[in-house]
Amino acid sequence: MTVFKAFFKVLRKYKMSLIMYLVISLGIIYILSSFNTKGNASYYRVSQGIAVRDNDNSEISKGLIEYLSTINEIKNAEELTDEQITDMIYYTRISNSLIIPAGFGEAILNGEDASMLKIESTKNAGARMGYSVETEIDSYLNLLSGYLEGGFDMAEAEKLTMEALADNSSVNVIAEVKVEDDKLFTMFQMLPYGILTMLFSAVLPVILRFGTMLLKKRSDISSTPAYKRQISIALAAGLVSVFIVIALIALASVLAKEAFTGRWWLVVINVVTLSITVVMLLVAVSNLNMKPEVASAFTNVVGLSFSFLGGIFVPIEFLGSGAKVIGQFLPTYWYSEALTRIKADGGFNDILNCLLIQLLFGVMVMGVGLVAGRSIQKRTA
Amino acid sequence: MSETVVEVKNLVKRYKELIALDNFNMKIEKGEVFGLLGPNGSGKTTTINCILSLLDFDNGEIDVFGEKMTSQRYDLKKRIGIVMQDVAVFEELSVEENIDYFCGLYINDKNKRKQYVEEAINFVGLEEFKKFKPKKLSGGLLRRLNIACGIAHKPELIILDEPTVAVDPQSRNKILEGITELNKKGATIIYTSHYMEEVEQICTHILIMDKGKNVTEGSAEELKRSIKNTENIIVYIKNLNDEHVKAINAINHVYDVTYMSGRLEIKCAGGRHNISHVIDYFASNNLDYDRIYSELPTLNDVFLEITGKNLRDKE
Ligand SMILES: Nc1ncnc2c1ncn2[C@@H]1O[C@H](COP(=O)(O)OP(=O)(O)OP(=O)(O)O)[C@@H](O)[C@H]1O
Ligand SMILES: [Mg+2]
Repeated sequence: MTVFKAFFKVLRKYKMSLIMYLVISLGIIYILSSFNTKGNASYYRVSQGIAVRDNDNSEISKGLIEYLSTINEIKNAEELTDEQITDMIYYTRISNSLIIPAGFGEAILNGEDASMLKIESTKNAGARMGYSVETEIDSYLNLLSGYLEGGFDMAEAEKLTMEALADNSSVNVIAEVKVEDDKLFTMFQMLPYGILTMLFSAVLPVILRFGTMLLKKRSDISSTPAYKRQISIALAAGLVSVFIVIALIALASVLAKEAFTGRWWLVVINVVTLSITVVMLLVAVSNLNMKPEVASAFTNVVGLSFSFLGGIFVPIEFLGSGAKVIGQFLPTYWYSEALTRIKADGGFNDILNCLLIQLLFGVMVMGVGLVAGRSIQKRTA
Repeated sequence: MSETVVEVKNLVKRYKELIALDNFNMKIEKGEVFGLLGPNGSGKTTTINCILSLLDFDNGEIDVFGEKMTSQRYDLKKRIGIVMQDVAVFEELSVEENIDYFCGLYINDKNKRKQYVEEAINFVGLEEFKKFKPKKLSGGLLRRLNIACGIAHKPELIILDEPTVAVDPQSRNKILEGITELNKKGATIIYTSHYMEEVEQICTHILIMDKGKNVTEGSAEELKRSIKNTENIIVYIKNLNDEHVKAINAINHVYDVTYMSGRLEIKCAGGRHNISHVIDYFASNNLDYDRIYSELPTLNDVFLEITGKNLRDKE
């Protein structure tokens, strides 16, 4: 209890840096969100990339592809390997891969069920946008077969279908996204910077203080065992970290005016994962027997490099290719990537990899830190 | 019947090639103020660290309160108070908070601790500085804080490792008085220092060590009685030639004379009126001196006679 309480007493000294980095984080939010206001509340139609392999090559299949191309960007699947297509879906560069089977047009002309079912569509399971393409196909085929049944010839039926679909904006509602919603992502985009800087500038030096040689020796002589003191320190540091993370999430949610929606939960899971990773990094660094005074320098180095190379301040696309390669080794990069996927309507499965990579980073760094810490201890003993 | 509080037997501690403790022995009885005296680097701190199980040692045995001491013996540690050579306090915490922290490592009861902290603050005279951060304290006050942190939990055995290094005379006296007072209240004290005057002033038993080995031990009187040196006569005199120095050396009971930069030191073994014989010599040779006085031997003379060197380089 004594150690636990002392942790908070020592922490008081670092309250100014907590406030400072909170203010800086808010400043960054303000700057980031002022960039994004221009698209406010306007609607636009989402254009998806679609890979299509047409094994039918009938007039109906060609008509369908032509229709899809008026909304989406069609990529010829013949020029792509299966692996490339899988990758493209995974990285949400295309929403669907369609295979139109041979005999497809024939079947529709014969009055068979004119639906999506006949087309093999592969899509990213968690992504909503994959379904919008399928809806487009369904609408087209339904209308077309209706016109054909009504006695129109092929050319006329296609023309009428196209016209009807062009008029009927309701069909495309699913494919429209509100830009205003981006606020959630703008707010959460900068949280890693806040978490990193606040934990490293305030929690780290306190942990390091308890580990300084003389104080550690002095405490080792006491009748409180080392493991009890360490548990107290870990609990206190954990509590402070949890508090900081929750406070930042709450703040970002309030500013974004969004909480407890499906994607909010995904975003929060992402932040929590990153926080766990940062805490593991903290554990690693606190093992290195550094002076508490070094923590502030460390904060700036880690805070800035992780944020820039991880696409926190600047979108990943803006980074040079070299920076991007380095960035991929940082958890913040995968945090941003996960945010991008959530933004593109990705589900939990779409970001799972990003989460795991973040944790993997943490586990590895913590392992290295513990080993390095032990060898430092041996040398100084 | 006396009760042994600490017993160190044939302790050997090596730092790589350096033998810091070489079959060192030490026995401390309850109620003693035990002085561990030795020049810089003689192994005092190493001994303390071994007793506290802060260091592994290569050979030997250490018993504390009659039981084998290990780093897991928290029950024994609870009864020990330590004032380390280097001040170990939190710079972020105030005087009061620091004492409360270290006391809290031993005492869980909140009310009891509050009272103990209060008492410790009064004991070292830091009442006015309760809310001060360590950085704001002078060297002497900082040492006092270090002491308060070590003794607040009212230990039976208090180990002080050179608590007066770099301390102003006022704080030094306060510290020495305090140690005597703690001893009167029942605590056994181990006090290490290379200041022989301090050790002589407060210690009931003195052990002199050098290069990790026992040199000698006993009370200050016993130690001084054990050597042949009984009196030192110091004379401040200019331009004394070698002839005179030789002649003085030949005076009865004088066994060693050194003359350096105007200071003549005459060592005597036995004899009752040695100083008058010296004065007679100056008078009969028509020599003028600035100052002459006689001293009883010090612990330094004990050390000098046994090891052939001074405890401290002359300051
Ligand atoms: N960690 C260490 N590694 C190597 N040598 C050491 C270490 N600690 C102490 N020594 C050496 O061991 C010897 C005894 O040191 P120790 O600190 O015990 O002396 P001391 O009597 O306390 O001296 P002082 O009066 O300066 O405090 C010295 O020669 C010292 O250089
Ligand atoms: Mg020492």
